Amino acid sequence: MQTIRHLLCPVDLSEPAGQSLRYAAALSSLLGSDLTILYVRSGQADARKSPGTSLEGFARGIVGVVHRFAFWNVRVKPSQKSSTPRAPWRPISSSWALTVGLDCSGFSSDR
Amino acid sequence: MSERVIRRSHAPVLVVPFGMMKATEDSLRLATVACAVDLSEPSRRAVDYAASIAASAGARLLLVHALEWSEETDTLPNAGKSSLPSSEDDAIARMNELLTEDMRVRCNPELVVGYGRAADELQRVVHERAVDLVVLGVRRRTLIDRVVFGSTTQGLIRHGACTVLTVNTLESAQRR
Repeated sequence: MQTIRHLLCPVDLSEPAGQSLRYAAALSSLLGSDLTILYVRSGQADARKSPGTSLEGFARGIVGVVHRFAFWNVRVKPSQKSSTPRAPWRPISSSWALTVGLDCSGFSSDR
Repeated sequence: MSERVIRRSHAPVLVVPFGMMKATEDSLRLATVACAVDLSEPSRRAVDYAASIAASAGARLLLVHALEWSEETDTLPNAGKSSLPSSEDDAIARMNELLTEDMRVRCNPELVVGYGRAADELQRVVHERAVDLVVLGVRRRTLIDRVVFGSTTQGLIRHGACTVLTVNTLESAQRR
């Protein structure tokens, strides 16, 4: 049988995206697979120089989403936290993409 | 957006309708997984994913196939075409061929054969059997495939009755 090893969840930080992220975290926990969030910033602007778009800033935004949707025991992977803040932004055509890995192994109802 | 991603992605794509998992829920409800099959060889890949998820979640696995009945001739239009099942028994036999022994042991699959348009039959099964996840094989070769995709996959996604996992069953299967 095919094994699902890695889930990729694109988000725009809207409420529907938060719900799909929560579903992805629960599924990731259920399947024992990795989960990576993908956020794409459209346009020509250099996202790496914009305030609030560093990895830490984005991680804080994710934590906000986590709390907003009762997204318990899901953490940004330590390896992501220790990265250079601006390094994970990658150019895609005229946009910028940021990926953040989440540890969902503890996803549960424990609060 | 979802349709464009589904068409271009070589990896399976999961579409989660808004409201499918509420903030008050603590865990994912995945009690019944249905896999729609057209009994072609590429259907195996979709069945593989459906069985894997069902086994991990301890969910019931349904394999669903629709036989299109012609009211004008009161026959199956498939009759006489060797690539398609000519009867319900034939369809069940060919659905069984898609299952491995491992799948039978771990998922206890149930075979469901309906009569009518694939999209209608699938939506009926989703409603009547309280399906939580539908796994669909998606081909993207021809205009006809696009029409089928539109009627089956899009119908399910837009209806928003359950989560849908689309699996590209052609080129991607050979690349991985």
